[in-house]
Amino acid sequence: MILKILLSVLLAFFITFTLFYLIIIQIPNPDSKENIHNFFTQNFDDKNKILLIGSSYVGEMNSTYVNEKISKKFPDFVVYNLSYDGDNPNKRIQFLDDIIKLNPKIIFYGISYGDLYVKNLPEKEEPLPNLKLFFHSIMKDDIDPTSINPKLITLQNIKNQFKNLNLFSNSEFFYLPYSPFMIFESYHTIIDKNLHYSPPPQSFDTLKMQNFNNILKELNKNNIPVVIFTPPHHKSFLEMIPNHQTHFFTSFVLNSTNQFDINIYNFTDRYQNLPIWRNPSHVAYNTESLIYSEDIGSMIILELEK
Amino acid sequence: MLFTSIDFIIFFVIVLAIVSAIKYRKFQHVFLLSASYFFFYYSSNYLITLLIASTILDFYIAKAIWSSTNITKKKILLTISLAGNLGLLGFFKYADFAVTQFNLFGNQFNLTSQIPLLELAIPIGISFYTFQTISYTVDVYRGDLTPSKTLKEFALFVAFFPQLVAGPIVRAKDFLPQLREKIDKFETGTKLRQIIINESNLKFGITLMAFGFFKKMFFADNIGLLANEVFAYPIGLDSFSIMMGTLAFGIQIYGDFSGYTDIAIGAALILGFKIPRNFNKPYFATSPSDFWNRWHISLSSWLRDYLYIPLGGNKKSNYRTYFNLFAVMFLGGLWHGASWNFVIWGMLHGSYLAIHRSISNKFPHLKIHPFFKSKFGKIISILITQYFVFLAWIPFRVSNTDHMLYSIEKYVLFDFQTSNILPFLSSHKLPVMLMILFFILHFLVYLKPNTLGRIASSKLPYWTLFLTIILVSIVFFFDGNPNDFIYFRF
Repeated sequence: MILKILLSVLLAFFITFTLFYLIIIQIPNPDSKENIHNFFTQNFDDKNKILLIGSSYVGEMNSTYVNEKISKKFPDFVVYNLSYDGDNPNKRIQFLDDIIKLNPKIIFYGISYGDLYVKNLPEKEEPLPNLKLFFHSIMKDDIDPTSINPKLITLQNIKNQFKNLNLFSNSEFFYLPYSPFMIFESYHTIIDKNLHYSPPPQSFDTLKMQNFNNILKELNKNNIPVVIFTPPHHKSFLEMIPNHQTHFFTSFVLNSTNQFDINIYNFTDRYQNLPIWRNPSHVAYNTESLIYSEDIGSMIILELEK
Repeated sequence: MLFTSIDFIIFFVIVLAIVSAIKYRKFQHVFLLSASYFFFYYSSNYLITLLIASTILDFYIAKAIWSSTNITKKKILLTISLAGNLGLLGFFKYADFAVTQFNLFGNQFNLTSQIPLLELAIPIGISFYTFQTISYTVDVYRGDLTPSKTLKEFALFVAFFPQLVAGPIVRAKDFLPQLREKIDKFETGTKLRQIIINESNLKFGITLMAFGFFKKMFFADNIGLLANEVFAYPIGLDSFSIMMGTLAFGIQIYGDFSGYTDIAIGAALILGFKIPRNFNKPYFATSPSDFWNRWHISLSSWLRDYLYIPLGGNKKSNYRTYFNLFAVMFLGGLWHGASWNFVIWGMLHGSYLAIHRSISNKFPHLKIHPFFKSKFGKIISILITQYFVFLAWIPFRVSNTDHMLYSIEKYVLFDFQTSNILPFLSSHKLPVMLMILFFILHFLVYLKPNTLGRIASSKLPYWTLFLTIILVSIVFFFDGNPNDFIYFRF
């Protein structure tokens, strides 16, 4: 009987995860490892490629607008925004070879505090061996750039199932043609005018910083010009960053860019007081928030004209 | 090690497999003790030394108290034990709180220098295991309990991993007999009972654990997002939003803590140990004292037996009883954490208990009044009680004084800003629907008290279906990041 009970538990797990798998494969997952590789292996036209890379801070700009702005002035150029949610240098470096093979004319890399933070709170140094870190390092999988969020998938499924009943607000997700790894939903478009922010204490991840420098080094070795920019944040976000972290981040980015003679554009506090935000760290995808995409476009033109 | 992490699942499966494979009871106990220490060491590293120190201190002191015939010597030994346990608890948990208060006090007198904070790591579970060891020594001192014969046995009582981190606070007189149980209860012979994974315990234990995971990961973690959103910055919010946030937090903390307890009791039961229950549908309490008979039962009974009764309980004057109730709840609040918001929470509950007792004393006929015996009267009693219970959750949740006062004001003085009700509900559909589902299920379980027992004893296909539904709900509504249990920080 005990065996039967244990088999029942296993069966329940099997049914649950099979169901989950069946649902997950139906949901488009633009930032899956597979999809990213598919993008790089497609046949591109002969246009000169400009790449924007980074996390959602970069991904949520209006890439279509940026592309149109560049095309008007430089018809032979096309801008691809290859950013995706939760990107960081540890993940980005895994696709560096693909990026290099694409032979871009120039890369604009947006880097911010969040991209360099440790994902979880850092483990304090303990006087005795840390077993948790040891076991986690065995189980760690740094390959997949995405972390699965079953709740998000379930909610998207529920919304899709009931879309005809108008039970849920207009929450269809959409994609931008030149931003292949980003998925947008209606909440990305809403400007929030009552922003407040209370972040948990975080610290910088040395591996991410090392990999950021390694990316720059590798691109430099392959003669691909790079421009760094620091994406914008709302003042409520910036006010919560401790001073020592602000100094540390600034000097880290300056050191890295000086090392490879790279230009840097600072957007961090440029729009901190403007009503363009969907949350304290992301500009809304909204016509009233176009200033960000406009300035990014200007930055690209300025660099291309050099 | 979080119960909701993959680490715990792997750990528990390995422990089960090894315990089943070991044939000798002594080795099973040694293994369980080692596994418990491993469990603690895994997340607390060197702080395990405190657990071991507390264990050794109380084991030998209790032995010395038992063997001594001199009452003065017994008292001195008891004082040493209390000083040791409360000293450790006070130093690690309250030292920085005391220093902060001292520095604030110094500021009033323009003292220029400040005492630096110690910033000590708070050992996980210290509030729980300290109370367990204190109750053991006090019980031995009172003559209610024979001291543990071996250090191994006592150490397992203190460190038993299912209840080590966040209770329930188990009494030695409930746990030690289970270790000493003779096999002749089940078969003939006098050998001590071996830990055998038994069919009904396994099924009921898994059911309880599944229900605990469900409460924590499906309800608490998802509904808690609403509370987090409301209380991140409540200033400017209307009464309805604050009340919804408060309701959400009340459900979150119940789902979180009682979910943890269910997992702990279920895990212990699978290993053959019975741990007393800690919750009994607290949101159906009809009075403040009824609430404390249903919420965190192991703590409230501990406070009653080792604090309220020694203070005189209700055996002295009425005013002394009110004071005792207030003082006990004040300390109960402080036990939760070194912060004034917990103290306020405790004081509110102390006031509720004292006021309720005073009303009961002044109007004794109310207790037997037909209105309060009727269904409607009972519903009214539940609603009034829960209104105050949820009010007290605000200071428990919100530590910023301005935010707390604003939230309390909006909760108490409803502002009738109805224009935001629909947009609020519309933008928080999932947590609101989960809250409604929670109350429906909570009500059904209230109507059918032995629901879990029935599920556990159902036929295997139905039971598998139950497990699958629970698992699907948990997995499909899990956002990828396991959340800490709220009571882990106490």
